[in-house]
Amino acid sequence: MSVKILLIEDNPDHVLITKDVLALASKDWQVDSLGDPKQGLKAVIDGDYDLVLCDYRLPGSSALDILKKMKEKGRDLPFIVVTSAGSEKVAVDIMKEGAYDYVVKDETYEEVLPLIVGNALERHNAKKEKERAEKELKIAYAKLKETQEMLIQVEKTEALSRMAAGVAHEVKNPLGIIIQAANYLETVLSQKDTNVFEILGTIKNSVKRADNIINGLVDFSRARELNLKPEEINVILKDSLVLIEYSKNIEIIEELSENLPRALVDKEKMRQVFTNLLLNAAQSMAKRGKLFLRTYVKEIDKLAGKIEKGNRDRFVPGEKVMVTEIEDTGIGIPEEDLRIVFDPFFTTRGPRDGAGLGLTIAKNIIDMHKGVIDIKSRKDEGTTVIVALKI
Amino acid sequence: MEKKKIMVVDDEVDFLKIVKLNLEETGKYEILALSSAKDIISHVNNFRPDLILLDIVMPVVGGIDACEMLNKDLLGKTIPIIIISALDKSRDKLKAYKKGVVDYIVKPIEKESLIIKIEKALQFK
Repeated sequence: MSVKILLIEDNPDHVLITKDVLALASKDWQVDSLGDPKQGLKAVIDGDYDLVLCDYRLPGSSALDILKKMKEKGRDLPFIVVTSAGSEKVAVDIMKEGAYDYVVKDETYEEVLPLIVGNALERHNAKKEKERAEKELKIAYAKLKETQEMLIQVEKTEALSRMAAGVAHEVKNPLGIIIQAANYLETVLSQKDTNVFEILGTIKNSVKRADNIINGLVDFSRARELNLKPEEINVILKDSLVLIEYSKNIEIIEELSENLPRALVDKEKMRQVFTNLLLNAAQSMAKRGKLFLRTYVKEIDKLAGKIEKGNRDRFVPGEKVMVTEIEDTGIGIPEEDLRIVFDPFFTTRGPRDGAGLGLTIAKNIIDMHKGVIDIKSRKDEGTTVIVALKI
Repeated sequence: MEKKKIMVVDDEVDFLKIVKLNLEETGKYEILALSSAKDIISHVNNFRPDLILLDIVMPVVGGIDACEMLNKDLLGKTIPIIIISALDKSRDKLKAYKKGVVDYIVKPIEKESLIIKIEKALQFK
């Protein structure tokens, strides 16, 4: 394999000798020479040389200057200094600065030079090989760590799921007793005291709130297995709309692409996502408003204004994605809340209107589909939720 | 009108007591409340219920095992069963429906809804 050597030397005789010596030593060694230190430095930095052989004394410069600048520029090349007899101490000092070796221009020069060059190349290759192996090891270690973290996460989710199911069972039993007890007291006491009737209503509502929280927690912890099948997103979206209650003064505007390919999704879980999003939209427009439902296919790069860069980067550049947009003209989300809307138990509504797990569950489900969900909102103007799925 | 006989089986004694009170208060049902499904077959043959409300998670004999026992009994297999449980996983529901139960109620449930489900299940008898 061809090895490119740069010789920085201002003495033409030495150039000739050195080239002859190296050409004789190996036919693979190709030697270029430059006498001007500035040109030499430029070639060291910008060229594609495998080794530098540099005379110590150069006009207006020295091998030390070139070596230092080479290091400053981050070039890692075997650098050998050629010195006159009697300058060995200087050469040793340069080696302390990072030169590989030195060779003295004396009667042994022709014999020693090829050995030193060969040795430097070998050491450099070994060093590069070691660095490559270390880099591969680091990558392998990072992957191992990532896998380990993923496994820990899976274990944590499974533990959470078991715990949530256990808590749900233990809490739902007493809730069952409380609500039946309230029903009984309602029957026997309601006629006598209106305050009692009101308090019993509060007890029943509180039971329902606690039950909703438990159900939300269980849904959240369970959302980890997918039953993927090719499905029509438009159908799932329309089915979800039927499931929610909304004011008659909300105008529904459907802009659904008719030529969508089927998406590989878990129908039930996607219905859960859309139901949560539609419910949020409807509740943000308590009196009146417009609800836009859009579906279309677009290249991920063309969604820059709608999907954050970090989320777009989860797709291959140019990849086509299936987009579902749910836009409302409701009260919007304050800017300071936008970054925490996906956090568990975050809610802007009263405690009776949900546990604050809807968006957390939606994001969890979309993440599991290797898709993304993003929210754009302006206070008092409305909110758009964008879901992008792989096709 | 003759009262319908309902057997309620649940290891939560407080739940049993209150459901019994609620259902009896309607004047439409006669209730036998059992805190264990261990002797369910002999109770069924003595009480001869029109409907069984059955919990799933119970010590010694669970609700699903009780269903199996009832399915093997000449009288037991003719009685509609409603599961009333705090378990709400679809696989628990599926397991119960495979044993032939007519309905599956997840706690908590209000008296009014419970009665609607009971009346519906009684039509299976």
